[in-house]
Amino acid sequence: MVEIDKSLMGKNVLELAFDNCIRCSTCKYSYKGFEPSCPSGEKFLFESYWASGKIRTIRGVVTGELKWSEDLKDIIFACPTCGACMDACQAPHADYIVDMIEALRELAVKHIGPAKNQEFLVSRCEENYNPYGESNSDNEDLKKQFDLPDKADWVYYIGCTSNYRQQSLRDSTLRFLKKSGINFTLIDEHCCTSPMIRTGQLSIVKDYMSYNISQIKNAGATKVITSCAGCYRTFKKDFEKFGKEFDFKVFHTLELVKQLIDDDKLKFKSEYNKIVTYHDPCHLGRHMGVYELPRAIYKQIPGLKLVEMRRNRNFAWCCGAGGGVKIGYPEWSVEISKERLEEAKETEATVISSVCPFCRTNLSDANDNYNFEFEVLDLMEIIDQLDIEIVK
Amino acid sequence: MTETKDRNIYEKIKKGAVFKKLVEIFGEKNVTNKSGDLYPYSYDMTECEPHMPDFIVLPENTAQLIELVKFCNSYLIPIVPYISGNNVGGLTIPENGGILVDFSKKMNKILHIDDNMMYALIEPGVTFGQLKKFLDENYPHLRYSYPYAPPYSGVVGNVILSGMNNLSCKIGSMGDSINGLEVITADGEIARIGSCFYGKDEAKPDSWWCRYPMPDLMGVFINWQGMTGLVTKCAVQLWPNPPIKKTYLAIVFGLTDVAPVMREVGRTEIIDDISAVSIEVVKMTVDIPVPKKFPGEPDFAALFSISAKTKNQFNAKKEILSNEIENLNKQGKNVILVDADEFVKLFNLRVRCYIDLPSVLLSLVEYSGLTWFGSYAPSHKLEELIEKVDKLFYKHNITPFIYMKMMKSGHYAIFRPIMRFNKFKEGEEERYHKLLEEISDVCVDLGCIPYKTPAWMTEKMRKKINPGWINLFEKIKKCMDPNNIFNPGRWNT
Amino acid sequence: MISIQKGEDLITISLQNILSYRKNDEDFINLVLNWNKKVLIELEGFYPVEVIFNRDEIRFKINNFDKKINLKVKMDIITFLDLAFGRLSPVKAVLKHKLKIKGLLKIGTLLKFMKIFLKTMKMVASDPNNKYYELNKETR
Repeated sequence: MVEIDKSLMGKNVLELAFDNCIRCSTCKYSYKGFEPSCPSGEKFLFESYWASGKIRTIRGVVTGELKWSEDLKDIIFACPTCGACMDACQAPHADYIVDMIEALRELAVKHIGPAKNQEFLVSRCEENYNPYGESNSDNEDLKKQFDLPDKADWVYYIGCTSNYRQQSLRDSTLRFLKKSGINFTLIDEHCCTSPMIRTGQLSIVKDYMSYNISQIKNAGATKVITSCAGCYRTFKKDFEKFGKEFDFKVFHTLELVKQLIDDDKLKFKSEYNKIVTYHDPCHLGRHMGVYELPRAIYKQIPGLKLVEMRRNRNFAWCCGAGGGVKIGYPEWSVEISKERLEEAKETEATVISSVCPFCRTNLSDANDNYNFEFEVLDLMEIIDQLDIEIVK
Repeated sequence: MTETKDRNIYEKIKKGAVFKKLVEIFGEKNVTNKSGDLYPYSYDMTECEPHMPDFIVLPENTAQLIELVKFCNSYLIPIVPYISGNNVGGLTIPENGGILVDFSKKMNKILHIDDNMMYALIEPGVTFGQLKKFLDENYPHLRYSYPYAPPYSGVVGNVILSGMNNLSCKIGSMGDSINGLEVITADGEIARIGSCFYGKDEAKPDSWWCRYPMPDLMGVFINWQGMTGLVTKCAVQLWPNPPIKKTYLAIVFGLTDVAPVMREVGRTEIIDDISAVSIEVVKMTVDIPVPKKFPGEPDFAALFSISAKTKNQFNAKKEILSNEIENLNKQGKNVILVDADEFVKLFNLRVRCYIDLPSVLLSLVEYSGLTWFGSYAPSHKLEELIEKVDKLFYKHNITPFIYMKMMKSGHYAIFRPIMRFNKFKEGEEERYHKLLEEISDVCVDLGCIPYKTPAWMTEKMRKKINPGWINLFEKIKKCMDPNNIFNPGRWNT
Repeated sequence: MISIQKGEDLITISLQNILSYRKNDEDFINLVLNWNKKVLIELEGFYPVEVIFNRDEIRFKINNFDKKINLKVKMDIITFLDLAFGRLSPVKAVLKHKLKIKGLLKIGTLLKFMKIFLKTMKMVASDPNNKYYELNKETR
């Protein structure tokens, strides 16, 4: 058996790459749907860019059959880790493919560094606690603006993308939470560390996780709610992987919305007379198995007609922002979103909606760059446009 | 035998110059010589020794390939065709380096479906999943025949290597279902073979309807493992898609009794497909990696697929099948026939991977390695084959995995002992290879002919094959490929 | 939740598959929990299997059966499928001698076993989903 660097977080997962995967190529297309599903494979085409090729790359670099070089960077980092391969693969290791890719990236960072510009994700965090390099907001201003206490049962974890890039989404969520009557507050956030984990740059991850946990504890919260699919996935899955335990529960905003609808507490008083198509964010859909919950909410909004894109749910085509691709391969990232919008165009929809600020960012960028004329809105932004009544 | 593995191919021309020429032919994005890109193509799932190609190219059209062939022929650079690399025989491992031509990424168009004469004209990169999807969406009244292979496996690779699919009890080897080929020969000429051979220019899409009756040149490309030229188009037969389709499961007690069951049921001429697997395989499918056989358990499970246009026709076929099973039981066999859909529903839905084709077979993807002795077998020898091979598995302390098919109503059979193994576990490859060699010896002695043969197997076979065949084979190879650029090393060339 | 032993032979694999269908179902849990009975199922042509209901566990034995069995049920595989797919009722099956039951007089045990096993079998049979690859998509 081969020797794997014991200091690696992903050591155990890298071992999986050895006695699994016969390269049957099932990972290349949606299983039984047979639709293109792998953005990196479809773009770069050579076997190395598909999941099975990446698994073989792990074998190569660990055994030394493949020498580390800059040539390996695209193979390793040009992948949004959307998980379509995990969904298609029918072998026992399927659920670990993205973990394997992230572990490969951790190994690659040690030997050849991350992909171009991805190092800024860490350096910006080290300065400002967020990967956008924006001045850190301790959210005190927002607390004042929304009249929030210092301590509460719930913490709304905004996330960097919502806080620094998609403030409309953030503010829509804040308004909704206020109306919902839940007792919530905000904390001084450090990045959830999703961008760092996805790009194998783990130096600050554990510290940031500890910081966020302590901030939530200090706020006295037993529940955390977020409107970001990436933060949601990180809290629910990655914290445990990094040995960070916590005793608060983690929710996505749409879980609260759905609960209020089911309890008959949320009533829509006006209509949203548009045709909407829903884009499944990878971190909520394939990574966390949440497909029907958002759809159930859209269907409750009066006047809203929900139509499905050809590739939906576990077959959804990635928006292209995740996995470090947005910063590492910006043009390609938007091209991936362009393909998604072309698919949306095949429906009658005029609005493309999702429940992830990063998807919202990339779909908007593609919408603007390629003149698609969609309205790109988060579910919370749609709800924010409606008259609603919430029985407390 | 003309070659060793060290061809010193870059003595006449430097690698850099080759790369430049390839970029000129295919475009920069469709050529690579980066080690990271080459590496996944260097191996396959078998225990065959890996070997790196020197370049990978992604062709888009025949014109590019003609240029490639002429260039490679001048400089004696090997060309290895590749679709998905799912052949279990090391056929796409470039044993002599050279240029690996990956058809699957760009030369993957379904060019024409002929509804009248029922065929599909396709490029080499078309896969089963792709063809199925296309037919389901556009020609639901037509069907193709699918193997027990992943959906992302090549249709053309399967037919020109005589695959066996889920209509094979009806139609026989997939090699028999080719209507026409377009090929590039070593001198860079294009030849169209079959009824499409009329006309100096591009053949009309509706001219690919038959292989016969001109002198049959198709045989020079079928089962030759890419040694005689590059196939750039292939017309494969399609079949009517009857509305009623049903699968029955025969549970067979008695190690070798599955053989007469398959033969007799095959001869009824009502079955589309007969496949049988050892009962251990059924357990592997439901996530028991090293299954045991318990006392009182059956030995084999056989699937019979029936299709019919009308209910009356179906009921008649069902009656024939039931009567045949009853006769077999009266003769002392112990066979229970049940509705496969119903049984699988209660047993475990994962077994549907054998019914809903094309499909990834769940018993084959649990490990990193897969190898087999896949062969065409004389159907009257199946009892002896099962008995001897079963013993060999136990001798090596490896769980038996035997897969069989009855072909063309019983004219011949497929006999395929399969081994799954961990490529990276110390000693595993050697251990399984040893079993494979012993199985090969036993099976070849009983008349089996392996398909998709790795070079070590053909070396053994050459000792048994009549010299006339060997001489003719080598003459044809020499004539078709005087410089041995097409997949050199296959069949020890 | 009820824990069910993983089957390794054909019959226990089937029984595990059937009984697992409702292992998170509250009604099923209430039926099985602490029922503490032993039922011997014999499919003609195959071998008998003892199904042991014990507290919150269901286990299987294919040999060394317990001396005290509460219920014995015998049928062939065709009857098994007919019952599951609703083509035959248990009463008709008994009357036609296709279903043989020892312990018939222990009506309570028999009826409960029917609720646990037969009802579940029928639910599995009538579930329209045939796509094994789409199971558990929402629980990853």
